[in-house]
Amino acid sequence: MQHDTALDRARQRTTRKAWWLELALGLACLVLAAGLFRAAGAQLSVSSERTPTPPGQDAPPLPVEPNRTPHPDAPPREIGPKFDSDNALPQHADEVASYWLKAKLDADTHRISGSGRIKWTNTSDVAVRQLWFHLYLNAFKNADTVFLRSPFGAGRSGDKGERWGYIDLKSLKAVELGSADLLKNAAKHSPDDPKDETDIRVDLPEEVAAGSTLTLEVEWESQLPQIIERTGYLSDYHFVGQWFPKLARLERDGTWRHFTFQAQSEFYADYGNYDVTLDVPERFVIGASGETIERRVEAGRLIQRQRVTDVHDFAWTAWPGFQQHDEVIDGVAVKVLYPPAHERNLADTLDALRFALPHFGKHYGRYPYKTLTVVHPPAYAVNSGGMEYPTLITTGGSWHNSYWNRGVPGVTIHELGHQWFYGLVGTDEHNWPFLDEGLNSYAELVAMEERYGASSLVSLPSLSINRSSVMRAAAATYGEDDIVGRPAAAFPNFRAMGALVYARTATIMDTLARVYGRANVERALGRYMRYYRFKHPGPRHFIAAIREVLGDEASQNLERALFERGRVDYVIRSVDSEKTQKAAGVFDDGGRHTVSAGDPPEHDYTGRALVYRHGDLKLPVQVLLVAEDGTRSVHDWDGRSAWVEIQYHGSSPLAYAVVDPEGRVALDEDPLNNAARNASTPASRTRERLTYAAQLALGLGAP
Amino acid sequence: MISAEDAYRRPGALALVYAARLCAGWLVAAPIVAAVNGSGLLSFPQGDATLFMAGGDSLVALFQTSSRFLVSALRESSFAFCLAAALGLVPYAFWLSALGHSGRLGLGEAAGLAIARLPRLLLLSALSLVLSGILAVLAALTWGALYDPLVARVNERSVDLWRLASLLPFAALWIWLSMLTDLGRAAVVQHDSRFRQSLRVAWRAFKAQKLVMLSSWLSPWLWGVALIAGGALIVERIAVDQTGGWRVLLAWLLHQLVIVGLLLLRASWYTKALRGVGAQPVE
Repeated sequence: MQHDTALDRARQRTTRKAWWLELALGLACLVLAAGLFRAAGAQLSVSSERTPTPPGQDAPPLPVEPNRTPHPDAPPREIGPKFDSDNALPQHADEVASYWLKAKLDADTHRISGSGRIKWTNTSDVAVRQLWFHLYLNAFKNADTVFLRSPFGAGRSGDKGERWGYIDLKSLKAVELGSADLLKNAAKHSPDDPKDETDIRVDLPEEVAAGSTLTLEVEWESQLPQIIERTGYLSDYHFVGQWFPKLARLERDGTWRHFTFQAQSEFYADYGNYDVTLDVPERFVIGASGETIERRVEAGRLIQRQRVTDVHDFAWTAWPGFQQHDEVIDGVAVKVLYPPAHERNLADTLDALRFALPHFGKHYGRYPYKTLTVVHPPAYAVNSGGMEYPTLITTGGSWHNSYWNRGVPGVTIHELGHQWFYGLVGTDEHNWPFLDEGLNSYAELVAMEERYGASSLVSLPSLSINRSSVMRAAAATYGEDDIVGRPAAAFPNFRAMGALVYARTATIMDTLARVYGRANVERALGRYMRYYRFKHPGPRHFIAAIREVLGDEASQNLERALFERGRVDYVIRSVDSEKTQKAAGVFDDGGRHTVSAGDPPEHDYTGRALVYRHGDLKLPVQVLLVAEDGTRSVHDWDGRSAWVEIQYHGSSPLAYAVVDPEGRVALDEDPLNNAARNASTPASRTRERLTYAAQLALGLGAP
Repeated sequence: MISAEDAYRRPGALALVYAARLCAGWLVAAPIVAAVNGSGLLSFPQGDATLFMAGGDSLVALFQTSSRFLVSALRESSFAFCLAAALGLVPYAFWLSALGHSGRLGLGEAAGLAIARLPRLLLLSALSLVLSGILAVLAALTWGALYDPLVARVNERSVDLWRLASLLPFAALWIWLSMLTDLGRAAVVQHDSRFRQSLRVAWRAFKAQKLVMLSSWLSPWLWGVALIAGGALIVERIAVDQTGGWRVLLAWLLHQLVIVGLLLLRASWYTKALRGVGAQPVE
């Protein structure tokens, strides 16, 4: 028999010793192969990780500055419907701090020689005897600065860098004070911190009376660091932010709001006008805040003068590699600077701008500036991306990003939103980051979902993910960790701040919109944004605006959610039903016992769903009951009590109950416990899909 | 000598491999399915259909609320996968032995052949995996090392395209390695050769008909990719994010057809591989 021969031959050739030896060798090779693939994966992850990330470990919070009153002005009794449209929009900011600056870039040493004038008006109610300057480039001067010695590394973007950056004040004089050298009376370091030079007090020889103006003449030199925290250089790419001596903001009660440069914290300054002349090598392309009013080439240098009014900062970039696209969108001259090969990202950026500029203008008041510059940094300088300055924003991402996700339009819309939430309404980003990053994340969420629908975060074949679902998950995961409404530096790391300030604020606002009506929330936010344009409101002003439109219940929930770690989780504990009993028994009837067999019940079945509210946010919800015959009934519950029993009467047994069936309470910590049903169903779709995936993988991974 | 028709005359062995893979897939999926079952998702009217809905609300909520269970389920599934991949060699050896045998073959005899050849087939698979691992490490090192020199010279897209191009030699080597491994397996069942003899026979078979072997190996691969993509497109139309048990059943049937199709494509290649090594003498 042929098969016997084959088997014999096989047995002959396979001695027992060889059989075991080959088996053992095979298994050893398998273990070795597993190690090799792991090593290859690790190598790939290292080689692809061009962006260093801050350490993931949690750290104790930095000492928090005393929690000062955010704004001495009480909110008005009513903003009123006048601010539902742009008719009452303020045209200009009060000019408090204006700058006329000249900056010359040495592209080889990455050093900027600066000089200019600062006109500052004391708009407080009291005379002042000192000025406070923010010299934020000094945050990168050495490893001992408040910023770089913080345990979470270099903050939200970039590692500590290999090249230090700093700013040296060469000269500071006040014309009205006899041009005396003010540097003699300047502190050498930040208050209470001899190792930090980012927050400097300058004592004046004389008082500056309330309402008086001071003209300061200043000269300085800025050494840019290797890109860190969205400023600096890499190769011949320069992004120049926080580069000049900048006055802190004086509150109306005469208190200076000044602070060192800290991880996670952003900025706070007064409005004014900027007139800045930039001088760079001729081969560079410049992008800068404001409008170009002069441009010439002289002795191999490009000299470009920029002017912008009603802003509180100025940033610029210079790189020979930029491609440029100009377009007028909603009456604004938009300039997009991007690296070669980023055409697809450019298309996505423009698409986002064409939608979002009019969208934000409609909701939060028209964009008042003539220009907007959008900078997409090259991939190797990605750490300068994702940042906002007045009339200039940076996006970011690899050349292929727009082929497979919404990262580029997402960042573009987010940073554009900051033109309103930071730019036009100048909140204190240091003390109340939720007022800019949080509200802006909500604005971004609304804009992205309006433009891109269910695929506002990920858009792949068979898989679309929207932004709100990811934001609500992050908000729920970290929601109880800490208070949302607290200073940026009080968060232990950027992950915590991102989840609470960005995601949770956006989810709180999204919940208010879904529960009390999106149009109402947008109206409230619109009033707040228009009324406080070019002003510096605090949380009280924002909550008052919400109360004005949405009422007390909504504003109480908002306050609890922002300042008291308010949380909520709706749960259906049980759902059951049974045949309705006839009302039989002995009944008293005029002093006599009457025995009744009972009338036929009106409904065949009686049941109930037991719904609980965990947490202290009392939001109204609906409860959906569905009977086995498909009959549906929706019941409203105000959510004020800890629990409610929803009664059911119908002609068939109760099948299941769902609380908040439309998912209005985005803050719900566990949306998957919002339903209960009598009979269990199998996860057949999941099993089918996963089994198939495993079969395919086994086909590849197995022999 | 084995002919192509002979290879397709082993539907029983093919069915065994398919059944083993179906069971393995079911087992690998089981821990994650159990985690989904325990998540509360199935209490909703639409059941787990919501996991597949646009926007991913339920999918993200599942990860948010059940991540711990899902992570341990994933570990269990990974373990089950490794085990299934290793045990999968047994039916595979059975199938290959059956393919390499002409004439009638009883179950007992086929099992005996499979067990006798199993260690050699395992060693071949494992060695191939080791060499693939080395190739993967080298490819990853090359990918990483090229970034800095390239980024200063060309634009970002070109950097990535050049880096992708640098992976082509590794891909070619991997294809060659996979092909030799398959030919080695064929030699084991065709000639009952020892391990090293099988490698030598495989090498000679490849050398004798380089282009034929390459096209015979590549063509089932490309058809396989097309089959998977086609299956995905059709299943997408079935819309399993909507309720209705028939949708799940139809999706399951289509997916299983894809799996059977892939096995048949594999069989077609092995037929040619067996023919190729059959023409080579054993030393």
